[in-house]
Amino acid sequence: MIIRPRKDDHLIVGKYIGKIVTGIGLLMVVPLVTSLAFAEWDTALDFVIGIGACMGFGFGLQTICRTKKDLRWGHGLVVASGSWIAATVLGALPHWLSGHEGSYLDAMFDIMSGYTTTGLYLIQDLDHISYGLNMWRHLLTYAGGQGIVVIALTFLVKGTAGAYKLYVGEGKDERLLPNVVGTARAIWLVSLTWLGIGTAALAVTGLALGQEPVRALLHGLWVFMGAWSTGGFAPQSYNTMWFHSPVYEALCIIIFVAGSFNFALHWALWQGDRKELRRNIEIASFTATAFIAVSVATFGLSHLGVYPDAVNLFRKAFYQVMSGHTTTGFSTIYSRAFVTQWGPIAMLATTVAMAIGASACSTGGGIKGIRIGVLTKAYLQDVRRMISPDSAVVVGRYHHIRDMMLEDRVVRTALMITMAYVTAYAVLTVLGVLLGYDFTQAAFEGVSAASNTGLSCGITSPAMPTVLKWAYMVAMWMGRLEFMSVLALFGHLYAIVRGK
Amino acid sequence: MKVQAGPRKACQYAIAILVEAAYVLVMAGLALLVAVIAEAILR
Repeated sequence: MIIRPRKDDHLIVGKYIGKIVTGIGLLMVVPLVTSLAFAEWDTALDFVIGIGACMGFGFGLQTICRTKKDLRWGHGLVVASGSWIAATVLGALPHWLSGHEGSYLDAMFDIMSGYTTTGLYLIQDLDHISYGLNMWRHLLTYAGGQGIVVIALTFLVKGTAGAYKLYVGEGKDERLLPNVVGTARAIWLVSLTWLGIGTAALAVTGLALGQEPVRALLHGLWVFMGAWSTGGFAPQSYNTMWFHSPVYEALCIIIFVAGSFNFALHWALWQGDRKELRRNIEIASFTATAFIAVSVATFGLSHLGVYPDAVNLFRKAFYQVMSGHTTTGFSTIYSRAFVTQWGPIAMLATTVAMAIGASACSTGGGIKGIRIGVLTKAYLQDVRRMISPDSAVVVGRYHHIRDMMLEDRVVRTALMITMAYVTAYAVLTVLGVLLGYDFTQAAFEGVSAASNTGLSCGITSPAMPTVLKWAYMVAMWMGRLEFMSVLALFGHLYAIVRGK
Repeated sequence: MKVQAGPRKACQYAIAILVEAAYVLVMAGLALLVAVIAEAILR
């Protein structure tokens, strides 16, 4: 029997969604200050309206939904997925008011793409948008990479038992420290330290390339945010190709690969456990799949003779495939070059890399290295079982922060989520083909959206079919929250209608 | 265990960042090697 949610359940969900939306309103203060600093009065007004809407909705919901009851698991999942919708609808206001979006749907697409660290965009005339709006685009992708729930946990939610349920609901399940609020703060420590170092390195490189100091600093900050969050937004329409600098590209790769690491791995390294990098199953999985994908793409491109020498070939292939594998979406080639120059082999290698994606509990998306590692181990364990005597007990182990047993429960969970991703990839590919796109391109773009990568072969544009915009938005949302939270929200809505 | 600050911790954090960067450089080295081999075989 499905139990209809009680009044208390609605109050708890409403209260926490209100808190998170309030957090989004507070976040808009940063682009507002940026706009004021550069005398962009129209943009500042857009953000004042945005802040007003978020605060009004957030505080209103908290006032209406007053309750002292704590979250249960189901609530945490529903709050996580529901708050992302509310944050997208309200966060899109400044984008829409800017006049750079074709419709409110396009504005929501860009915001969902930012929060989910995807990087696909529909904003028009990107090279001439205001500093304030650019700050908002990159800030929301940085915030989305941390997890908007992590932000709420840090600043707005006290360390209740329910806090952990919110944290898990957003697809993060690692405890870096025993206390979940401490975990959220540790994530901030890692990210903010990288922010300082990465921004400085990119800004200095920008200065050396001839940028003005303020522009070099802002571009450094924004490109860092796009890279670290594996978001893929950049301040120019030519993305990181705009800089035409091997040093800038090298820094970007270091930042986005580090951004794709599990925060638990970062924390282990930061605590001095350097062996973890060698032993961790996610890193082993990522290294193997990245090496294979880069090699296949490199041989495919070499076969076509696209680039004049090995160094240029390496520079383009490594950047694009690693950007895809870490689900960043930065590129140093034109979108259409994937189709017109790269050909099917290199495109397929990049598509598979995007599908696999980054690490769990990172800023990245996709199936995740740990699941590929666990499933590979499970296959090997079954092969060992088949060739062992009947009486033999075959036990599988893997290392992720600590040694773990390869239990059926772990394999089942990994397989379920992997199947969910594969289904999403397949649905988007079929939809793309039905709408008239070539199979390879439909698969590339669909996988890019559902794995929260953001590399585009040219399908994503303001002129794309509306149904595809909705489909990509839903896929970005579901992919980022790893399906379970979104399915819990659907279950919650179903229970409201059909429960007893 | 708590989030800690101080010069010793700062050094430890800096080394961790360098280790992460070194991992990427090793990957890049391997990728360059693959590109050289690919060009040698296919050109």
